[in-house]
Amino acid sequence: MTLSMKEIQAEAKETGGKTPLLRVKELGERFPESIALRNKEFGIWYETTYLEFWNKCTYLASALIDFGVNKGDKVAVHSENRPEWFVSDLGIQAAGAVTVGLYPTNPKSEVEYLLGHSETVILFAEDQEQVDKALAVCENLPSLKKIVYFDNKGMYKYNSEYLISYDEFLEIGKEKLESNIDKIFYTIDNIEDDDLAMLVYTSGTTGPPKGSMITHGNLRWVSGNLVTTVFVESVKTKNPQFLSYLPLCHIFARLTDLLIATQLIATINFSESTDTVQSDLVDIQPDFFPAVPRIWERMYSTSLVKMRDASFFKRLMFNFSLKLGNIATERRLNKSFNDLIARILLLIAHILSFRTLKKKLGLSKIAIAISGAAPIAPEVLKFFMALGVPIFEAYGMTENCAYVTSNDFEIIEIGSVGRPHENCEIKIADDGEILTRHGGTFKGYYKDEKSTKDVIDEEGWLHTGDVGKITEKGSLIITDRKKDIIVTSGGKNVSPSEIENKIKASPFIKDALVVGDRRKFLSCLVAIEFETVSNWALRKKIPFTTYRDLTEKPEVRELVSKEIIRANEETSSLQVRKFELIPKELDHEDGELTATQKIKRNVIIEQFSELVESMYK
Amino acid sequence: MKDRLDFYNSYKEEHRIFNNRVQRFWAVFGVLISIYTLIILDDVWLFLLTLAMMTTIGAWGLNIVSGFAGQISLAHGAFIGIGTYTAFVLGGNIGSSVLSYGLDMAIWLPLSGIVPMLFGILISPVTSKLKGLNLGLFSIGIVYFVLHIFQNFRTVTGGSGLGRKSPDFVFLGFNFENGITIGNLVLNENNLIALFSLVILILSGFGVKNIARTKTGRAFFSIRDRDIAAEAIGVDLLRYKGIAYAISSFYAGICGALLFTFTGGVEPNQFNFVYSVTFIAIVIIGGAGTVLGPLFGSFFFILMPSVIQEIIHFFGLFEQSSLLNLAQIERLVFGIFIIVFLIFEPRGLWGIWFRLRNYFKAWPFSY
Repeated sequence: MTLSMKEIQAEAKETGGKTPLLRVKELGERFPESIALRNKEFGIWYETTYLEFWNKCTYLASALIDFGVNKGDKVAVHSENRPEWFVSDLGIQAAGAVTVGLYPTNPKSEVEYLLGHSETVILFAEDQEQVDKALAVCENLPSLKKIVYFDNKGMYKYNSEYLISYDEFLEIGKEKLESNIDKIFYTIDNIEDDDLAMLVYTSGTTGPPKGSMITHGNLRWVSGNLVTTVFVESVKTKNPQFLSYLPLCHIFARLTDLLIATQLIATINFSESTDTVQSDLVDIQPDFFPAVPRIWERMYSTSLVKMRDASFFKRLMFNFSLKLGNIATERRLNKSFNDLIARILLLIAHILSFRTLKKKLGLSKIAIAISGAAPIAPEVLKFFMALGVPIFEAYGMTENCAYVTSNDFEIIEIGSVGRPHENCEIKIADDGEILTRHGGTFKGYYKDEKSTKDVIDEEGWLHTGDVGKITEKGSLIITDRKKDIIVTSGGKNVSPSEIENKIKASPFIKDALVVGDRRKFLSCLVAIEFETVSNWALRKKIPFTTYRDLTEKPEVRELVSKEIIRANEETSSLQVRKFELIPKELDHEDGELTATQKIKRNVIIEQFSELVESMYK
Repeated sequence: MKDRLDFYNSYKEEHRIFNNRVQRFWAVFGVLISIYTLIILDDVWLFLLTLAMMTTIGAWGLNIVSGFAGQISLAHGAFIGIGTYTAFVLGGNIGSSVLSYGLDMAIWLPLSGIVPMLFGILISPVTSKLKGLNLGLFSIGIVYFVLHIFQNFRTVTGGSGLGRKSPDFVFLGFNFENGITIGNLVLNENNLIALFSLVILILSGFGVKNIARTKTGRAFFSIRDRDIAAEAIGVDLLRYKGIAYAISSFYAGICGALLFTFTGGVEPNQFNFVYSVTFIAIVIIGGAGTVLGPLFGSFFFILMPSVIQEIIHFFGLFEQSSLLNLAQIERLVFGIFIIVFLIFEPRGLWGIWFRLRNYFKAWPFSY
């Protein structure tokens, strides 16, 4: 039996919060039989209890010590989400070392930069693919000593001295545990707040990635304060289910999947692969579901597209339910979340259509869903609210451990990121920049004093780089990234993301990039959503071959043009006069997107400069 | 994780017959409704439902060998006959002119399955070696061979044109004729036979489902889909074809024993070639290769004539007409149904059920 949410809150208040490392150690002792991790292989879920989880962490720590890892050394993990990721993360910290996370999509040039910059000693690589990347550049990495791989598939023919399998590695740790266990416990007991726990490299829409130093003190403070937030408070079931699929090297996934999950004594489920997230979501029906806008947009557009194919009666039922849902949403937004009429309307809609729809999306048990890491279109947010999913937009960034604001059951303001969490100070600087200050503010950028000084001032305020304002109700509205603000040649200040989000609300458009800095008018580069547009083309009997071919069809141009006109009508600022379709799918490996699928403005504008210039001729 | 319906910790869990609460609920609900129906119905419909349940068992038998394992069998009627006579000989009342032992149903019912099964195993070395048309021809040969014996082995069958009477339903010393009274509830012989067949039906149904979901079933399917490929992946063709015939004949025997004990007697010519073809029709209308198909097919086959009759009576059609009599119209309509099914719903009644189920399963989408 595990604890209820109230008991968890009371305990956290007493202890003042525990880092995930100490929390897992504690849970391994108190609730050894509770399921901590679950991973899917060939359709079957395999379970790891909190005791096994903790034991594996100690084996790993013991092996690291055996391989000569000292306090403060950097150890990297380069893998998709899987139980080994968490075991490595906590095992590394238990050995006193610092975890460095790499995105699975990082190409070898970035792997070289990240491992070199962080002076990584040991690398945990997922499989042959990641091992190949590291082996290709390891000659330039003098500090790298060993590469531990999780997946044996295809590895038998390698005989590099660097390599050792994860199972062997753990076995070594287990054998040496007796001699190392005292050292491990000594290390854990003597962790200072100022000691580094992890380096989180920001994906960097400009310039090379910067390594944010997150300390054990940051983690402890955030863990202690998290329990008062809506994230923890709304999850009322014991042993809630989490699905881990967002990249773990990003602070958002670490916060939700590790910090919040261990606070709630949850089971963290790992999907089979990134391609199976949707079906695994249906299996698990998580209680808590964090997602980035891309995911929500995708669910939204696939639902609508599939609905268009449904039979007349089913569409009738769905549209009617959606109407009820929309009325309920308005009431919830204007009155209160627990408005009785809203509840009744949602119940009817639930019975008619939404119960099965939510089940198919995997959202049937959601106690709270979060959208974060990027702005989400209001249409999308309202759609999920109409379904009856309690979805809240939240805000945070690596540099403050993603602990800043979120909407909650009391006040939801669409378009805002909500009110500050408890103990989080916020102020708006004179130039409109948002500043935050609390115990989770990071220590600085690794080996980059100058940048650190730019973002943390003497009073301890963190300069977020985002521009925004605070509403009457106390919610924070984010206008844009400070450096993205466009000033047209007419001298008008325009926030591109506002218009872009309006345009991106269309199910046919994946990404939009508004340009117009020092130009006469605004124009836009548009990347179409291949899945929905190709579906649309098939229905309209428009023949096409590739993505590029599709973007060159006049019908598709017309389709996008209609969407832009719609967005123009909705926006209050300057209108987009011209647009061009980007002739290729944007990709991380081509450097057009960051690892978190954010567009790199400068790169794209430069790469498609001919397209841009053609619009201003 | 009990409230997560699609969540599985092991393959065993995933392959359970009812792998979640919703399915278990509907199964129990269905059984309760069936029991209630069999208690309250009047004798005419009760008679038909009992016939349908018993026929289903035979249809399942054919489905195993033809629908699952893909082996053409036109000799199903012969196996039903062997089962029937086993039951009649072992259970028949002592003192009649034909060979009878007067045993209890608890003995003759299992044996009436086992004897045809042994016969199936006996001929399986031959049937396993044959494929397609040759197998079909061979099975027709079996029908005529067995029929000839039935017609002439008078001490057992009573001979052509005469036949013999059936044994009584006496199970573990209890004679169904006596009926049971529980409080206000009076169950007569027909109710008891109907409930008894429901039990046997459910047991056989579990048997079929278990074959379909386990290694044996997968071996059958692979033989059906491509025998050479099946052999290449390690399926022992001789063995599994033999098993298919054995199980199929067992079901046939049980079906025959129940069916003709219920109708009161049997004449050897009953088990002619047409009788075997009837079962093929049932399986095809219902949906070959599925568990529920033969069930649908049997109920359709047994109940449809009566439903057609009711409709004709209701509208007062053809009553004065001398062109066609009722039985002919009945057969005509039935024939039209078969043609319509083969053209428009080759997956049979099960196909209709499947589409209906998917309509609600996919809700609110269409796929």
